Amino acid sequence: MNIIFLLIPLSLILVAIIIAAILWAVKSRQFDDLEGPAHRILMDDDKIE
Amino acid sequence: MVTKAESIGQDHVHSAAELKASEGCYHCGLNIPHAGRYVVNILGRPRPVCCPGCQAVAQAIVDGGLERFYDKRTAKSLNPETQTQLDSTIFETPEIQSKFIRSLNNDRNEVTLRITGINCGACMWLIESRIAQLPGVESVTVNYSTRRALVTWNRNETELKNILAAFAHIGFTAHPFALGQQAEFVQKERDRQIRAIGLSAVLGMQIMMIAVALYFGKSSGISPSYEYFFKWISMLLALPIVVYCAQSFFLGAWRSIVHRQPSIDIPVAIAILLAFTASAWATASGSGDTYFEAVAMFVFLLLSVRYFEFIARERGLDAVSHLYNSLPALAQRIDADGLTKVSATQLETDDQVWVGAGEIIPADAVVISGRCVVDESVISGESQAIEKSIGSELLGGSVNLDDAITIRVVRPYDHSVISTIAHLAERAQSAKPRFVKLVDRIANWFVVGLVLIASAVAVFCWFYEPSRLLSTVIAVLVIACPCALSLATPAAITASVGTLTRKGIVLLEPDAMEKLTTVTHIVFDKTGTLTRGDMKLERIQTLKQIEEREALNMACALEASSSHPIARALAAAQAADAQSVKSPPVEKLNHTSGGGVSGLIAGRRYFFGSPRFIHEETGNSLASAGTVDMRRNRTCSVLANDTEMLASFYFSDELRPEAKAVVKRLLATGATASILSGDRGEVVEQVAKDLNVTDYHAQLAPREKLKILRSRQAEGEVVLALGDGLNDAPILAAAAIGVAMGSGADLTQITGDAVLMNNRLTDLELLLTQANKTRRIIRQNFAWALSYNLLALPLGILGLVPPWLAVIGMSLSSLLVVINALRLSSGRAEKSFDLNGPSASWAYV
Repeated sequence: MNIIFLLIPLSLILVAIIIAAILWAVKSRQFDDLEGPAHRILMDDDKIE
Repeated sequence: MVTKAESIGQDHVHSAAELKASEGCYHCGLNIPHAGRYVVNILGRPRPVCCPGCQAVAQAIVDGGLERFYDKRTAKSLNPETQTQLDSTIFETPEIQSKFIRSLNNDRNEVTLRITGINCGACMWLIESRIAQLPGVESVTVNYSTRRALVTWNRNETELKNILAAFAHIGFTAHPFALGQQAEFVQKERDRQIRAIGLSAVLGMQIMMIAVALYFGKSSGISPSYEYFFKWISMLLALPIVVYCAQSFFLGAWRSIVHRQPSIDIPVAIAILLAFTASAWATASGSGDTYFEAVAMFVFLLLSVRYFEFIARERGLDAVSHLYNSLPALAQRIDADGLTKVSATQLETDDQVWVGAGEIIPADAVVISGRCVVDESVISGESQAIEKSIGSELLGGSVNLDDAITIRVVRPYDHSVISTIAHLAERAQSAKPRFVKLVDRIANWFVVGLVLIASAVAVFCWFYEPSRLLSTVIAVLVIACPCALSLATPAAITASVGTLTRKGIVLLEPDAMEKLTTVTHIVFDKTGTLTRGDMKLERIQTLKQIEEREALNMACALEASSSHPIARALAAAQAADAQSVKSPPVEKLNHTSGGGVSGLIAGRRYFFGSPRFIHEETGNSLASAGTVDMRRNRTCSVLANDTEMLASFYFSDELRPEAKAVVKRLLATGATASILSGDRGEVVEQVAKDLNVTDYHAQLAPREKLKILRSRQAEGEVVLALGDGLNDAPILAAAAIGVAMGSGADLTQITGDAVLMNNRLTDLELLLTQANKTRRIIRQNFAWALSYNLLALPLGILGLVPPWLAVIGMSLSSLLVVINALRLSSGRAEKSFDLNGPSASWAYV
């Protein structure tokens, strides 16, 4: 069970990465448009040349 | 290729089917007044469109190689002729440029545009594809939620006005948009909340995971080294939650202490602080319980609720910031050395201004040369074109529909009628009595009681059972925290608002839902609200030996090239007549602005227009013909030849088809109704009669409407006002509930509490039903939350509930409330509201 002492700190690193990802997402305005991407995905297949 | 229908030929079987005017314009869905006149080849077939505007836009889309847009879209587009385009030359002045355009490195410029006309995902695709095609444009990104676009271009290769023109070509209006301070604050606040929620969710999950181990350890034993380790890790994880995520609760608690206004933030802040410090102490000292998971869960749940509330508010703010950022119109002042372009705000009394056809009158003024027809619908809400000649007064903000005129300014921009109306609306809004929510009252009262009880418990424990002081006080604060109570309303309202939004009913005021259930009196505006705001031919009265159908055909022939509402009404009447023959050809057509038309039919001169026009042209008057339909004093036009009058035509503004049934059902619920209109008495009387409404007032100025509304409210009525157009803005703001039809001017939408985007009266009913349903759910939630809190509180005080159970109890209670609230969003997610319903009051051309 001593592995716990390694795994939990490891999970903390994971948490730090996830938090960094959230902060990045907010900073790069990923949450600004929550509707558009749902429509965009249907339009993407034929970009205009 | 643009083709006249004639050149397509009769033998195209499928195209004949498709050219059926009854299906409406292929581009915008409006009725087609002159079948076969405007056609565009789209997706391999000729498609009928209603007007040159749609034709041009559709053609531009096809020419850009983007006709797949029509395949992709899920809603009809807006009619381009109903959109007011800004004079883009205004962006050549450096002050305006610096206000909106941001300079980036590498000779690039960037601008945020606010776009009207986006109503489905394909519009986004169309804009991004088309604008990206422009030379010099580097990138364009459309934000679908906010209807804004961010465009970057190379300033050496193109200019902003070319980009704006490209938007106009494909049927959208783009206005440069600068984020106001308010909007910037909103964006920052939103980002902060998302970060806080995200952080508390991620950290909370970790803490919960460890907490499970600790729970099991409690029941089946755990080695002290693991327990010690787990607790330290939990504390480490909980620290950012308390320090960063829970900030807003501490600030809120501090503010409410400073202002001596109890709020739910106080027990929340105390509980969080107490639970965290006690747990931290327990962790450090190695004895006692920890409540980190309770803290994390508590913070996350509360933050989520706050976020949903915040989003609802933000939508309203966005609309207001648009108003403050709208540009003043441009005016062309006549100076000694010719025309000078100035901002409308710079005009002074007695300045002379030249106003071209299709331009907006920049200030209140009188005509000093020329004559024209203006559309004052933005001020009066009534969409009838009004004739103006030398000496006539003009209202700033109205649109000059045909000929160029020269005007003299009477009142500068700031004192013009339109600013006064805007001012009135603003004042009415600020005079709105603050609605004190039941939730707040109960929760506040509860909060005070809770803090007092918790302190009493603390004092008691201090003397009798100091070892259990902390756990009991935390349990009391958590278990009795009126979280479910404060969730009861916002959760139900959020769910309900979501359902309504999907159905095209947008609430702008968070309190609207609660107020809707108390409505006792409904005030209707007439034009564009109860009626379509579109002309309809009511009857033809023949004055001489002429058949009605013949008269109609001649009138249609004379008006064929016009896009005036009367011309459209005539064309519609002709199209509805199955046996109607084709209109006779007309030669030497001659338009008299604001009066009528004349032309040669089969070699003889005929006139069609207002009675006054006929009198001026032929010397005959309707009164001398002896038959004037006084009772139905509707808009009247006369057909005449050079010697005598042939027929008179009466037009009415058609009642919405659903109006009768809706008003009847609303009256059946016990509410009373009245009609306040700026229109002429007889017309209003007729509408009131048709709808069985006995209480009606005609020919009212906005101020008088407001007065009547105020007197109703003084009598104790809770008034719902349903309106459309700028002249309703003050009453929409002053009424307990202002509901705007979706076609109304922007300002109306802002002062209203709710907007019916689909422009259907039935949606008003839907709104009221949903509000009642919401009230029922809120009451159930209240009943549950209150009884839970009152039951749990004694148990907590007696020390029978450990903090972890308190948190579970609190969470379950909140969960139950939320699930109950979710029943309100039962309606399947319909396709996003379509805006293809012809928006009546825009139908002036």
